[in-house]
Amino acid sequence: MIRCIIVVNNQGKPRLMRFYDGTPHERQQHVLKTVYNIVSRRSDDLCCCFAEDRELFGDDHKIIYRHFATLYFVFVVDSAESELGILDLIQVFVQVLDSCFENVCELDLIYHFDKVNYILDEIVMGGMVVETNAEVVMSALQGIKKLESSQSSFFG
Amino acid sequence: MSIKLRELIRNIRACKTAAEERAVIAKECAEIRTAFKEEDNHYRHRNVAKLLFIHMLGYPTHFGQMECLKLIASTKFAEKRVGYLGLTQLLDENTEVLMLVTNSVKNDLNHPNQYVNGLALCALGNIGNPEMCRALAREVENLMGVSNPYIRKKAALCAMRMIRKVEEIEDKFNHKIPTLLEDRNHAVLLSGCALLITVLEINPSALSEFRRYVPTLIRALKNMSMSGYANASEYDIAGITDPFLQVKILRVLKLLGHGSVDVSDEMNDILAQVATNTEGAKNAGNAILYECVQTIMNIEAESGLRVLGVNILGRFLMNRDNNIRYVALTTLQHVVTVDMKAVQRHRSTIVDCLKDPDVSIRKRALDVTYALINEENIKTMTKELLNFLLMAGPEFKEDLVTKICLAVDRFAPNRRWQIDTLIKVMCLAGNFVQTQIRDNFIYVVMATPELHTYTVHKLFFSVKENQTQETLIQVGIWCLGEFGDLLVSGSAVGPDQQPIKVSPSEVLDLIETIDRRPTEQTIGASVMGKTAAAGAAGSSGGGANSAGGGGSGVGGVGSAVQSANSALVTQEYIITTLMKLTTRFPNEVPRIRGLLEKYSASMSLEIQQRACEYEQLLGNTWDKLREGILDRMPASERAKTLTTDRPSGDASIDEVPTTANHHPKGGDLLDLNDLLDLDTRPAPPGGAVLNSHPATQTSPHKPSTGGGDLLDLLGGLGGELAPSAGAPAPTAASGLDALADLNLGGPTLNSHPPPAAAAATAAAADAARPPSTGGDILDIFGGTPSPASPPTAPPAGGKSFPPFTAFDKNGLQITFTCKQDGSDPKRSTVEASFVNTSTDAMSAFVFEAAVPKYVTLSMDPASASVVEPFGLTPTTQRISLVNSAQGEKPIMMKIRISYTHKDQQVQEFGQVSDFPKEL
Repeated sequence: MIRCIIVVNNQGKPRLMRFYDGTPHERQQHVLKTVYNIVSRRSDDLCCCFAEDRELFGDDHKIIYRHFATLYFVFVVDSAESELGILDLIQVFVQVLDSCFENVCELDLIYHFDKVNYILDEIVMGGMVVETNAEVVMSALQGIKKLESSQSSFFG
Repeated sequence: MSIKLRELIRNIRACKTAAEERAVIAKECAEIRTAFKEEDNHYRHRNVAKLLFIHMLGYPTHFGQMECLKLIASTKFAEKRVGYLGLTQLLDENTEVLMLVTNSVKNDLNHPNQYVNGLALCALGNIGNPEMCRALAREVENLMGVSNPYIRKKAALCAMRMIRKVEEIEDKFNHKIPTLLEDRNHAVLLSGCALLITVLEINPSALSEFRRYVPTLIRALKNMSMSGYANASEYDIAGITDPFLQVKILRVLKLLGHGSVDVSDEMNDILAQVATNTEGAKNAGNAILYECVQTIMNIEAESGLRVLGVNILGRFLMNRDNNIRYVALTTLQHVVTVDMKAVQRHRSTIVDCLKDPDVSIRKRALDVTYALINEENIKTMTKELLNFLLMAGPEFKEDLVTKICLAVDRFAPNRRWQIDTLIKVMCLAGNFVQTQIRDNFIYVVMATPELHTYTVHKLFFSVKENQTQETLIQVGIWCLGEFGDLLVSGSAVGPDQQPIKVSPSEVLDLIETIDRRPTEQTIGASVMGKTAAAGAAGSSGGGANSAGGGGSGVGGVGSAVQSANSALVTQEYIITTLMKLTTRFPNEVPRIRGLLEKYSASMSLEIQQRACEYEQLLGNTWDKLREGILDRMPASERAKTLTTDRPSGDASIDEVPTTANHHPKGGDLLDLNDLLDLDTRPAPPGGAVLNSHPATQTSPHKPSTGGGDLLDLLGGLGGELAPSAGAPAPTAASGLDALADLNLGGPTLNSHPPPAAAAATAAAADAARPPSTGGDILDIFGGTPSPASPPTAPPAGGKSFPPFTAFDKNGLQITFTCKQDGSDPKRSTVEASFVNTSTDAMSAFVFEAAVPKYVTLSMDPASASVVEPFGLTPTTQRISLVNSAQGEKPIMMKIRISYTHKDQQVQEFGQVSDFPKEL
């Protein structure tokens, strides 16, 4: 299963953090820092997208990440997930973000961090992949938007 | 009036310093608290959203927990949504207030709107605790059967969490799985597979029940791999139909096919089809191929299919994409255990990956390379690895050193080669050798008396040339203390057939130089080195070495503490060695006394105490006893078990640095011949082999001058004398045989090794004499450990079964060897063997087992409560079983293992169902 998902920028600022393995709150920032230290040290062209840190996560884990412009998308998963599959999943996630925000950039993720979380909830749930079809995710998000506006609630 | 979320984010982003940010957040949190206190309903969801952002930045936000529950109970969707998000982020499953939300979640699960259901399911799947899971299982079960796929997929994953969290509803959802597996919606099928995988993981006995759905899964996979599946085009990634689902199905097939030939047969065709038809140009295709190979390797596949699988991995290894190479190496590591030969074919490619710039790939390649080492290729492989040791960065060295030493221990063809290689490793990377490996080396030396002369010479010259490698120095000093007399006796002969002459004063000179290394400076320097390393780790070599003037630097990764420690340990070695040398170099006693004196003022309590004791020991009162107390260490029990029947190899000295003085003198080659191990096996290692491979094979860094000639000569002699001569029996110094039985721990009990050795000898001397003469210094020597109880032999007769792995996780491997009682087939004994392949010992080790009612079980105590690291000595425990349903039901066992590892309590559970069916 997916143990946690972290989106962090080049400077180490978190843009999204989700933990599915019950990591206590006090430890979450430590995980963020360690993971950032690992991925930010690796060069983009020379390295593969996989890393490990036994001290932090124990034996059964893999840190899988992709670096897009200013952001690292990091997934920490156990051996029940396919490493290459997760790379595709990151692709799907980014694709959905892109169609939601139209040319997504870091600022979108900062000011709409709640929305990013909702999008993620449609793709990953309880550490498992629930939907991989970008169109299905989009139509669910649109359905929710419609429901919200029909209740004329506002948010901001 | 509260500010908007966007405004808060903007304010935080405008902060220039961390202090400024803290102030902004503290102010905002205060306002949010007030709003919460005033029961401000209008802005509550906005405030919780702000808290979510603050939480992400790492500030405490627990005061918002209750507000989430209020939002969840709201009728407005937007508020509900923030509430649920807050629930999963601001709370965790141990938060007490979580119980209060159960009712709201229940209402939402029954809500007519699918998105509300979705929110509730999602929250439950993310954070549901056992109580919630029990209370809401029925609702989730109902939702798994609704017509809306959006709800079905989420309900299935929710069920997955429930069976993980609550044991007793483990099979409540089993009857829903077949419908999920037939679902035409991809996401639902995907969730169904995930649920099935979890069921099989929790309860392996459900395997047989689900094997009959293999055809269903094969059909779905076939449809996708032929790209004709309904609605499939939406799931396309780079021209491949839904790679996620294909991967998931392959994974389920892997679990279902494992251990069943029939089921594996059913899958053969589809796996071959996927393996050949999938386009491997893009990541998505490779993901499927990768999973397919893993399935092939795990099921009982036909050999043809296996070949296909390994070939795919071979192709992966050549791939330019790092990710692909990485997964290929990961998989090869598993394949090695299944089909070693197939992987050997790719050996050179794998070894090449050790050079990869990417550390993840290097690590993986090292693991596979290590797994590939066997008796046949140990020499060439070690040579390769030593080459990489030269180039490897500091962060990689420790791993590499450990792996080389483990491989050498396991497969060395003879002792001579083993000692040579380990010394070589310590010369190259002595600062990265772990203490256990150092101790092990000493055990090996101790247990090989025919190589004592050789080893002490080799170490003397190695240390002389290389005074920066701490471990090398420590073992060198130890050897000088034990075998100093052999070094100065002049009995050894160099490659030029002249005896090697080392004078006692030369030995003491060397010890003095080592002792005078600027240790304090080094400690200070490595503190600076540490800060530097923290800033830019990987800067080769580390500042310690250069700044310390060739002192005992620990390289870039060593911490200051470690460096200070190892310098102290070296001093501990030095004083005991000096003490031992008083009997070996009787003419040098005054000088040694002078050297020892300065330690009586040492800052280290241990060293100071020892020094004072040794000073006493040098007094006249001890004249008679001193010789016995300082005698050579007997080979310990452990050392004896280490020396299996491995030949010791050639004991001749084939390299002497030019610095050595040797005088022309009649060589006594025949003496050396006694030391030669003359093995007459078909492929004899040691002396005879040297003859055929002069100067290249035996020692990786042999100088080309002269060495070959001597070896040729010796080899010839060896051949002639082969029938009569034999290696001397590896007994310890004769008078000490009785002492050996006491099983006094080794000479290197971690922190203060040599003193312990002295203590052992002295304590033994104490035992041999009337207690009244045991003076004050003997008081400090602690009691001797009681000998370990030898494992009782299993009853004779009956049928034995090959050992199988019962558990393998986090470096702990448990192997069961079953034996059926000859007279009563219901009875059997299981020899459980615990092997710890990690680098730290597992202490307070407790193994517990539970069996079904039809089996009765009794266990003997384990052979030790500690499992030694590096897989050195397995701890064993005997289990007796009586299966009253023998022949009808197989034996099953649930096991619980608890131990302390690296100061952490570890508890593991497992299920063993691979017992032989006959039991």
